[in-house]
Amino acid sequence: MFWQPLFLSLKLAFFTTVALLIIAIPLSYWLSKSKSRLKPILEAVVSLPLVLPPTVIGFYFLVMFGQSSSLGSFLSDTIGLELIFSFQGLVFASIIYSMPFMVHPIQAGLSSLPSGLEEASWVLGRSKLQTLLKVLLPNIKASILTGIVLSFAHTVGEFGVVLMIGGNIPGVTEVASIAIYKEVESMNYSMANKYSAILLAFAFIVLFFVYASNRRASKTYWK
Amino acid sequence: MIKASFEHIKNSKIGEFSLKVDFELTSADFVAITGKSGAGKTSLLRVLAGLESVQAGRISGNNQIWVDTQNGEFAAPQKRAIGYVSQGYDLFPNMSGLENLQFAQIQKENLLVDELIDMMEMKDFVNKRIHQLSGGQQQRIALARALIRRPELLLLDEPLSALDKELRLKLQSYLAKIHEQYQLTTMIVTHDISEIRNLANKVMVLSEGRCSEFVNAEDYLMNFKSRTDLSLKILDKEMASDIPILVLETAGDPLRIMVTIRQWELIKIGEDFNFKAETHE
Amino acid sequence: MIDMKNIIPLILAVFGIIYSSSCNQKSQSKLRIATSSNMQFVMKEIVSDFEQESGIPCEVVIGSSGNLTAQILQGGPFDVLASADIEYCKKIQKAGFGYGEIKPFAKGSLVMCVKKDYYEKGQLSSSADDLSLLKKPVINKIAIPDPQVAPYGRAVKELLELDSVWNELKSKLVFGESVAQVNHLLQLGAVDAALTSFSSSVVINFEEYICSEQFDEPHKPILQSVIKLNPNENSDKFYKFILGEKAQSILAAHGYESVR
Repeated sequence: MFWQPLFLSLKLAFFTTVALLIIAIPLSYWLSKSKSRLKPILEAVVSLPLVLPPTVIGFYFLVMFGQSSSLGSFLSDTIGLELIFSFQGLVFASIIYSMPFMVHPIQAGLSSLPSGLEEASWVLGRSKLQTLLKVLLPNIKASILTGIVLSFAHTVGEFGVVLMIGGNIPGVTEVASIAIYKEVESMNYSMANKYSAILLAFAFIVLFFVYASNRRASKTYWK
Repeated sequence: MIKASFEHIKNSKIGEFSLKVDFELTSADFVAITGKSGAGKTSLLRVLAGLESVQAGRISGNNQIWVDTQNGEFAAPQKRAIGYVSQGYDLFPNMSGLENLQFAQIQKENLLVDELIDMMEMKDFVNKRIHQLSGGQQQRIALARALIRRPELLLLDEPLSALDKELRLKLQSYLAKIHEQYQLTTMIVTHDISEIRNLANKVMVLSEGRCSEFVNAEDYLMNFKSRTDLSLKILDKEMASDIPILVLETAGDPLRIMVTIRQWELIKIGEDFNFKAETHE
Repeated sequence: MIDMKNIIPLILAVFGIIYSSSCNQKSQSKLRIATSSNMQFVMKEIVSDFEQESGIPCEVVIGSSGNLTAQILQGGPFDVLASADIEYCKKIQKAGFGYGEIKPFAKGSLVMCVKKDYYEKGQLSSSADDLSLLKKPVINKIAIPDPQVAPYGRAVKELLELDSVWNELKSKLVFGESVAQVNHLLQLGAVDAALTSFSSSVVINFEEYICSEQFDEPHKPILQSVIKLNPNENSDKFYKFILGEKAQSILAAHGYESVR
């Protein structure tokens, strides 16, 4: 099926992005406020995927979660969780791989807010959580949107990690980037072109939409 | 009723700053806090609001212990039933004026919100977004927002500084009304003598992190005649009218003033001149 | 900011980089041999023997047949291609990038590997070359080279189809983009079983697995073939060498069958 890899890529990116939002918001909040000594360690760990080749992540994933490892067999025996050659495994790996793309914009956004905003909310009796949800996050919509778009796009573009741990199973882990590679390798250039053109158009439209709406929003929001 | 005795230390690039005070306020006091910039006035309010930590001391308010360093007690700002208006107002940009007010509500009783909207004449603009409001309108919203929860202590950090004279006097009357109606203990940081004259019953002067004076307003004013009626007359020059003097600091010696001379023909830049300052009551 | 003091060293540095990299290009009078990744080990041996015998310095470029072919069709700088499958050589010849005849120089064959554990725990009993073994429930993941892109993968698919087990096993299959990737998975013990090239099992010790003997080929033969991309003397010499006795004995030692 022609559309299957594209659908898989979108599905992977969607679940990864949603999961990242849930994980990254509290993490970014902590990072933006923390002065502890743990902070640079955590920041370095979060940012590693920016610097490491995806094959390194893929390799360690295989070693840590593969059948042969104790962790891998533990997970599959106790909760039936297979992280290699499975869609869930790709989601998990993508979360790690795309984490900095969600954390950095949100952390930057939160840091740039005047601290008086959350202080005002606290004095008005709102808890830190309520303040985060009702005051802080609504005021960094652009940052959150950036995080979402970057993580989503980054996951759609993922290749190295998927190649190593996905098993390239059609309909399960054969995402668009892998399919394109396969078509090129088997010299079906017209197929490869079709997939690539669709991805390119999709990416452009999404980015254009984001930047256009950002521009509109920033005109009215902050003076 | 506030009772505070503490030391608060802040380390910054310039060095260490220490604020050490010991005072007591009774209910319905209206205290004007004044002093040079950097004396610690904002820090004082922030400590009382629970936004800054205290190295040593005890603060109690509204029959609660807010801070007790000996027993390791610290009440979060959420618990202190305080109304606070910061220098920047800190209104929430993602909401309208009305939504900012409603945010402060604990229960969905609109009575108080409506009451305040009426009292401060905000009906015309309360539904606009914050960035669409003028400075004076924002200030009113900020003040109202601090009052919605019926706090027992109201802390105001130069709330009227950005306003022109007419609006300033108007808002002073709101403050007076509110104070009378709700009997709030209020602390207001200000440089403006008219605020002291019209609103305060006590005056606290801070200097370099210490309280140098804490007196009744009348006593303070007696030693410090109101200078908002000061004007300048330049000697040996023909002037259409005397030039009003803007008093920059009402505490401190020497007094800082600012004079704007618009009649360019009168005086050239760099020229010396003699003048006489006159008051007219 | 950019001012005269900074700009001269900067320009020199840039030129230096460009110069030195182009220098490398020029000093390349080496014979460039492109070979598919499944042959990387055997080709290294053959090439080093050739270098000793002929005195011609060589450079071996390893890649997947598909990628190498694509590069060659775009005029890539190779002198000889030794591909895992004759089809790629045919494509190149058709496009006019090849010189002389295509010659198959070795036959590849398949091997099956199954995790030792299952035997040790008594979960499996039949011999490791019994394909129906793969149907057992204890075998969850089977790695094979991808039939769409790897010649060995195609052969595996044929083999499984001819044995009528392909459809049943499809859901257990995990695809490596090349024989090399399947071998990686075996080395990491990441799958229960795999089908890979026989020569791989000869050269690499898959510790956690028991490997069968090479399969007789009901599948179409996997013809490792060579074609000249450059009509020069050195390419010709290598072409002849790989078809000669010495190279053939190296190939045999690596598990490849002769073509004759």
